[in-house]
Amino acid sequence: MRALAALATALILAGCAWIDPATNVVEEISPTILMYLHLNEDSELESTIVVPAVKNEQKQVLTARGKTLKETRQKLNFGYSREFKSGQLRMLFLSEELARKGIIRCLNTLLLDQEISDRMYLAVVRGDFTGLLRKQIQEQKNYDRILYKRFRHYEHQVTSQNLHFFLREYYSPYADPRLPLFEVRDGQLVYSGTALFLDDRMVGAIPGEADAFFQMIDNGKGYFPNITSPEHDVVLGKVTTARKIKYDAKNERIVITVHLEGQVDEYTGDLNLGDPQEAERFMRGLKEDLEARILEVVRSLQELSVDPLRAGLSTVTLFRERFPGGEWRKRWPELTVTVRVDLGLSNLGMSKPEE
Amino acid sequence: MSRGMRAEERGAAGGLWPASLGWLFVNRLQVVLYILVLPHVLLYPYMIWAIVIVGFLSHFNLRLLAGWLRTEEARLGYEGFVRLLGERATRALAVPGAAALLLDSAIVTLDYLEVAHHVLFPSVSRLTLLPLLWLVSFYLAGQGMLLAGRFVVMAFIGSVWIAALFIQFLFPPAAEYRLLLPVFPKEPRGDLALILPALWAALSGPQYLAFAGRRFAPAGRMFRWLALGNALTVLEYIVFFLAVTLSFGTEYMRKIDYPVVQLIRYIQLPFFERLETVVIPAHMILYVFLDAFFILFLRDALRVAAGAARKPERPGWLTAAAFLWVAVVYVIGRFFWTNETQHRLWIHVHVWLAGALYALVPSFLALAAARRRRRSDRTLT
Repeated sequence: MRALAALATALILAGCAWIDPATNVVEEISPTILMYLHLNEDSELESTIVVPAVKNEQKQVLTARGKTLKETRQKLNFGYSREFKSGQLRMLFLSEELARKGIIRCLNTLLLDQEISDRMYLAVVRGDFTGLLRKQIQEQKNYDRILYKRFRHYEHQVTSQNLHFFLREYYSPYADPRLPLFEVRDGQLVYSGTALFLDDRMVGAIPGEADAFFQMIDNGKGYFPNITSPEHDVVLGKVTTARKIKYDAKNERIVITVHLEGQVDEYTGDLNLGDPQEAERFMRGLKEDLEARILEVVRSLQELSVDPLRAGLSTVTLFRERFPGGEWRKRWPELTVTVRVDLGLSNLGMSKPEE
Repeated sequence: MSRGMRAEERGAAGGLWPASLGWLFVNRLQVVLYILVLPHVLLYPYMIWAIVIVGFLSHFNLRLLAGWLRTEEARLGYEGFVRLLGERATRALAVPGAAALLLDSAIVTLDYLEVAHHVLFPSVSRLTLLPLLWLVSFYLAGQGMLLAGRFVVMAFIGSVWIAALFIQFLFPPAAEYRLLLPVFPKEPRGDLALILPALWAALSGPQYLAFAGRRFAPAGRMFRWLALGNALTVLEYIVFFLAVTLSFGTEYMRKIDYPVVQLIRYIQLPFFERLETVVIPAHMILYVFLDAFFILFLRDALRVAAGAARKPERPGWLTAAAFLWVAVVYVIGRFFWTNETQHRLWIHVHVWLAGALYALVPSFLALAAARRRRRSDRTLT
């Protein structure tokens, strides 16, 4: 029995064996949780990290330049007192310049590195992110961790992608990847929509104002604290959405149905929502408005000929692929898309005070 | 029924394996090769049916195996083989048998070491873990066939939970169900001539039980236990395959060396990450069992080939077998398994070798036993 216990221990702990020439003594290494990649004017890769991630020391922002990702990493190591390790890397920020040139080579390098988790968040940044990091790390010591917490918190409300999902969509013939787009504005990192990719190159973006409508059709289920419709003078709150994408083979079109539930949080318009007829008019108008806005988002995707909605997947049936090979790519921009919104609003009546 | 139970209990008391151990044997001997075989062949969603079909074929093959294990010859061990084939043929067959066994176990073991090297210790030689694995297997083999066989219970408990880790990948958000389409394609893609043998090889392993007939306590329900093990394997394969397909999709899966391991790495528990550092070493317990088993079979084969099967057992044979085993694994691993191309080649060798053994051994033995029975019936009348 004792021999058995020893055996079991030896086997389980084999994964921790210190037989690697690359040592992992905690005092000698410095993990990082954030990395930023940028392509500068000379087409050189610039990689920036924040170290140390855990120790109670003054944090530093380090930058190195090189032709390849690994070259920059080596330079980072030479320029710092401890070896930097990517085992805890949780966020990878890519500059817009790099994203527009193509990122698959960088991602491939990261995928091959067995230390790096596929759960690493990816994001595109517009503006001087290195400068922002330098400034913020002085003001908020744990800025890198705060960013990570932010990613985790908003996972279901804004675009949030990790390496795994990005690559799955990159390789799929029926989908295109998308990443969250951040902007450095007045010393803050502002979420400003969704970056759209064709293959591995960023080709456009859904702006921040339209992003909620993109989210509604991007996720099977969504939740939004607020949706604003200025045209109808209304703010909807506690909005939950469920969307379905179907391919209508007879009419060769894509039908997107969004079921939306929520309540009227603020209403500044002139209709008396307590009156059933006026309420119905209001609902119809709002529904048409939402449909039009969603359709606008879809149109902009079709114009860029990207399909981040994975609409192509709904054309595959149990028995066959209707658009095998790369055919979906060619057909998607020309397809007719119909958007239907099912509106289920609660709490309408008391919004308008009696005059 | 009650008589069967009593026979089993008697068997256990008398130092035999109860027939109910059969399902564990079949299941663990089959799944041990899974990580090795799946990623290279099963790419398209419809191949889920191939798993089911090959599972059925394996079911019938196990019927033959159970039939053979019921015969008197199987119970007699060496003497039984001599009765069937004659002493000279038995001794002559032991040589290619030992060679096939060595090759099979070397490939399986090296593939595991390759995974451990790739994921856990990329900067050291893939043979680093071999001494540990060998020592433990040798120790286990030294406990004798009976105990080494019963160790299958530990191997089962120590590794079956890994399949449970994959259940989360059958549900959103990780799973995208539409990636499973088309599941009944009109024009199937992929090379079925390669996939079916590979799947067959993934279900191989139980053929080695054919040589352990005398270790089993006599009981009438052997086949049911074997079939249960086979069904469990098929179920596990389906879970693995679904998890991998729903998470990666065909195109991405193609690009990854070990999709199954990749998926384990994706698991993030609130208190624990990088589960592969535990899962892959835990998986080693299967190889400990398997290699101890192989070393013992190798010892028996060597003794038979040397004509020493009837002589009293000496520990020297086991030591010789263990050293021969580790030497072969080392030489193949060191000199003939140095790059990706050779790796692929060995996988192909394994698919055909293990597949052929699994197809031929039970049917050959069942046939030989049936022929002998007919002949002895004739001489009686």
